[in-house]
Amino acid sequence: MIRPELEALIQGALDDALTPEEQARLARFISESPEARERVAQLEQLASIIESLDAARAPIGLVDNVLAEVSHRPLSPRTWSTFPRGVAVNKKILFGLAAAAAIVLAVITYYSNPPATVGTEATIGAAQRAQTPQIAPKDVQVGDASAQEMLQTDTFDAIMKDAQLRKLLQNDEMRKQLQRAEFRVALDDENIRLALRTPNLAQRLEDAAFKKALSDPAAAKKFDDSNMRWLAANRAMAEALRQDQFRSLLARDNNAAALAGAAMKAALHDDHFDAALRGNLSARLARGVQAR
Amino acid sequence: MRRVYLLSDPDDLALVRQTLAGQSEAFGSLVSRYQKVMYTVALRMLGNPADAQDATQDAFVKAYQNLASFNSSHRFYSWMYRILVNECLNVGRDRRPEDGLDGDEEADGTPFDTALASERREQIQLALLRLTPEYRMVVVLRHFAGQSYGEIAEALSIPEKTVKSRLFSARQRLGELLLGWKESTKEEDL
Repeated sequence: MIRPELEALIQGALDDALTPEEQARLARFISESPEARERVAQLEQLASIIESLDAARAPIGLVDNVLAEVSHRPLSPRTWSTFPRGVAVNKKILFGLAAAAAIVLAVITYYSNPPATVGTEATIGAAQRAQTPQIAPKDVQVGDASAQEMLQTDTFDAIMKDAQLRKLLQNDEMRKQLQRAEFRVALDDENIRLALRTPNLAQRLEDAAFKKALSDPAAAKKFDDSNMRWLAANRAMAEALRQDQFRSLLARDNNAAALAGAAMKAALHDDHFDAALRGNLSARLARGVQAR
Repeated sequence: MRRVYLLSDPDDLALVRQTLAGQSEAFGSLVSRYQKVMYTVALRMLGNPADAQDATQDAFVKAYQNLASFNSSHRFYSWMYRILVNECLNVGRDRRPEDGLDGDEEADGTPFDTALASERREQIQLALLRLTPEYRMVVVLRHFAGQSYGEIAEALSIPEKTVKSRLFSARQRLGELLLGWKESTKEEDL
């Protein structure tokens, strides 16, 4: 009988789910154990047999049939519920949580965005005057209907299963902070949402050196020619530079220093961050700066 | 592992938005994009082309009707898989596995080769159908849709740990059925 740890490693390898460290550990096991080698061969053979049932051809006319079916059906609100059964919660608390849930993702966005430096308000303000805000504070009000819908969402489901998050959302100050338009505005950006799904990016944005580079004037000393040359050659940076607001941000010394820092250079290696940068991340950051 | 079916989220989200804005042809693009993998998943779950077609079509229609409630922070295909899983479970409740097996794959070679291949496929499909739907779905999403543990967990609303546990147990059972592996001493209802 193979050890559970080894079995998990072998199955994980079959599913492309191992970290480099786990891969190294498995390689060691395989080189030392005939039993492990046999199990690898067994599972590979099984996967190959299962997958010999190849992909089926989609039925002819499926697309047309679906479109014919939906042509006389209206798009409607969700009708099924994912609310966990068997959870007894006071109705008042429930609705409070539902309202908070509507903006919980925004918290992550807000606190993951790099903090802007003091002194950028005037520059950003000038750029902002030419713009019409996409969402006003009144847009983030969550009425009863919204609360009802939130009760049926996966986000709410996740909150109900997370005691720590529930506690956090019941904190008055936290909820007050959450109910700000900038949260929702930031969330409106698809690229930012995508970027936030990347664990690496979140990790980088949480990186103390990165934050310091964006906020500490002393970081200007780190400004060096090699980084600037590298940034100038970066395609995403070149595209971002075409945006007025990004240029405005960059015009401030502290931001330029931060952008030239090693942490930003590392972040630019991330595909999702790259996408966010090429999208309107700078505009979102600018709005956040102005609001603060 | 197969990942060939999955396209980028931004494309899906753009199509979802266009559909919600009243452009039904955008939904046609989504159906066109995912019909093959959705049908394959349904076929492997149900083992019967007619049922698989019904389940796939109904899943797309339900997705359309509920598109307004799609949470764009999730992946569109995970949401679709979840709807499809429910459709397959509904169909599966009314049928026994032996009611009909698929004969939907392309075949090459001589009639003898074709017959052998067909028999082999039938054995594999029957083995899949001998798993309970919960275990079968994990195997199907992993091996026929190329979903990661995390994506399967999202689609089925179960923890990743459960995904792994079900997948490992299901593989053991399939190994016993298809390759004559020694039966596991662990008693599980799968």
